[in-house]
Amino acid sequence: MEVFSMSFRAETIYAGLLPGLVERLSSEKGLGSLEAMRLSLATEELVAYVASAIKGQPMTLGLHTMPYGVQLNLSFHLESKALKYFNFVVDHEEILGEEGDINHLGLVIAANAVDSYKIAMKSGQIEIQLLKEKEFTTIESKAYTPTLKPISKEEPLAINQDRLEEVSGYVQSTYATSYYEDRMVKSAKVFAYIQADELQYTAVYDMADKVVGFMYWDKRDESCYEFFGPYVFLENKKEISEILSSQMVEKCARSGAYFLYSEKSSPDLPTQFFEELMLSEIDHGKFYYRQLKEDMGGSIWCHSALRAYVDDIYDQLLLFRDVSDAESAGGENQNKHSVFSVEPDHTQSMAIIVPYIYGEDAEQNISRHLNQLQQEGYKDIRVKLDLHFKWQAYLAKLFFDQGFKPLFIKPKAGVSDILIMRYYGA
Amino acid sequence: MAHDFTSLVPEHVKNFSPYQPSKPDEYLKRMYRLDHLYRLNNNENFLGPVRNAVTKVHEVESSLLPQYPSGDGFSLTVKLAEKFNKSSEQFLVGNGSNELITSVVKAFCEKGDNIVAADKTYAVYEWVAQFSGFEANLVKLNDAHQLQPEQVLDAINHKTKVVFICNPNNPTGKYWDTQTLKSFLHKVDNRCIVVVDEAYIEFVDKDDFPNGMELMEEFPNVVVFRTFSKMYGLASFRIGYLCAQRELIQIIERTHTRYSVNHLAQLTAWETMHNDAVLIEATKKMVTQARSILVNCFDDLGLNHLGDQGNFWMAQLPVSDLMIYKKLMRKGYAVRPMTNFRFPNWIRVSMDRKEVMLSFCEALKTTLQG
Repeated sequence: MEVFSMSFRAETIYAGLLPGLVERLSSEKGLGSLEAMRLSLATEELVAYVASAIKGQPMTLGLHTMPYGVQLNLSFHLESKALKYFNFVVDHEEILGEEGDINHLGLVIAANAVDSYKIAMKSGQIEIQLLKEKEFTTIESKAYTPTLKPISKEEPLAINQDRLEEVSGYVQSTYATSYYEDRMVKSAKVFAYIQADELQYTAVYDMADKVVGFMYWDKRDESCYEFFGPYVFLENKKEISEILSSQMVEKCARSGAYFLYSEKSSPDLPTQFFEELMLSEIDHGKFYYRQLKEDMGGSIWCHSALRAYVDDIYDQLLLFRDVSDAESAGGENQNKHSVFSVEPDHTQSMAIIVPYIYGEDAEQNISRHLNQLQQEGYKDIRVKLDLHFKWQAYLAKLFFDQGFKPLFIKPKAGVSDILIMRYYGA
Repeated sequence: MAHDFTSLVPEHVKNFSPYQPSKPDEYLKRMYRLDHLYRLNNNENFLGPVRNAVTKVHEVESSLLPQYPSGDGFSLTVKLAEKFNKSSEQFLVGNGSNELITSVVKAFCEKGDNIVAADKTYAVYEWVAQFSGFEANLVKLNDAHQLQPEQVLDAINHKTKVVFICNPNNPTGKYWDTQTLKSFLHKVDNRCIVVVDEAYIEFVDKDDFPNGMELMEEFPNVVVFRTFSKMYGLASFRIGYLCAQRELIQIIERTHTRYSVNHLAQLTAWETMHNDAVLIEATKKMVTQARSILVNCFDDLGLNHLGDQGNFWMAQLPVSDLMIYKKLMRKGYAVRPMTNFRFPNWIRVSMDRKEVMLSFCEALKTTLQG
């Protein structure tokens, strides 16, 4: 829900005026004082940075509340000559030469102060989204005590905060930490995302209305869900995990999603109903994949250096593609500057590089981003590339040269298939 | 100046994902490196169409091609009236059942209304409602995969305008007998329109199966759907029709697109109506034989299976249906993975000629055991 919106001309003076307003409004809308302060700090950095980059142009700031936090959106029209400023990590030397007063790490600082940083670019319009979540209580691990009642075959009850708190405790006492995400130890946060309709779940109860199994998933990209679980607390794990997995697939079947996947499924996943991908090593488990629709083929681009990897992935997924060679970025007029954004996930120490524009400086830009993200301490650095675009397929080769390897492919997750590569060291 | 057109899009359209149709066979064969592809996924009838219909296609004069077809399928509705002993004004011809579903929903639903249908049935009822901005109240099938009339009645509320009953149901093949359907219609008591979709009625071999064409005379809120795409082997022409009492047709025709059915479709459908006995007999014989082969195959493989009336049968797999679909495609057999019908890990197989069914069974066996 939008609680505040303001349009103004980009001037650095707003970097001093707006943070106080954002802090007060977000505090009134449920953020704790520390979280509200961090959002206001991010606002100050962001507004100062953008105002320096697009001086005098109109921009709009909007504040939205969600059950789990407050999101600030800053949107503005951008001329192509100013695009280079919206690299997550900008070229310090070049910026200093043109804009002496701009903080070249402005976007990095803003992103570090919040829980989610995203850029959306469309038709010359940019929107930068900063999300600050509320502080949620961490739940203690709690041993499960069965009621000895049989499993209910009735329609599942709606989950509530108390039941989720129990689930959180049981998950922690039943499973190693590598099998659940950070969000699971803060059940109220999971509940808030369910309330916002951004996270879906399925549960199995016993006849005493006690949760005996739980599984949840949320939307990633345009056409896929990432799932977590199944978490089963009774001895007969096989039956309940099959019910949970089946219910999840059934609920997603007509959602429009193309597939489900997980990097953090529990050891109780009925793997026979999923496809397993073993490519590069994933620290915390195996990658499981479940298609929801028939695949109708398609065409992608790929550089010859990655062809063997990509063929291997498609072979494992039994998917067929017309593959064209991407030995260059293509395009008649090459941009001088490339533009990459980054989507950080502080809870998993993960940062995903998202290229928006190819430019002659792409190799240096990759190095610059990689160095900065390593300095920031990210352990899992990835890049997301849509193989529909020749220039992105060519970029895969440049990332490969700097130590990234293909991790998996998300079919139809973008305009076409999305290749995820991960940095393993040069 | 750039515009963000998403602000113009209604929420119910934003939230709807477009259906991705299958690619042409030639494309699939190239992608899967196949020299043949057996289509066991769309319940088509490869014994059809009737020979006269094919002859008519070849005889069509080129001088007819620049002309618009009959806008209301004039000759065909006269033929249908003759066959079913009704008035030609009781029929509306459409570009497949999908267009007819849309016409009925548009004719009766307005903002805040809903339709009622089974959760595991032909998906287009639900889709048309959703992308038109109406709620689809879905009724769960019971453990025996049957639609329970009482549950459908419970789902009907004062905002329900149309109930869709697919009889026999695609994909389960289960059906409501005459007594069940009549009892249901009495209880509905004209509170809403009841569409009885009889797309597969020509395959039915049960004495207690209801004939919607008769029931609609007794119940003025009944609309019957039939198609030329299944038994009659004219799927490529996309032609179906609905039949109801004249008063109902006068309402539905207001939202029904005219001129949407091309000349060839009308011509071949007319020929089919004119002489369909041989095709129906041959097809029923083929379906009986194919059913026996399939059921034995599923039993041999220890698979749960499900079916009754219609030219299709389902089986529950011990693995992902989408994975087996891909593996079978590699061997030249297209089956329907049923996840999208809310039957995760089931496949639906259409009945075909004996040699095709036997080779399919062998392919399924090696796929599951491989």
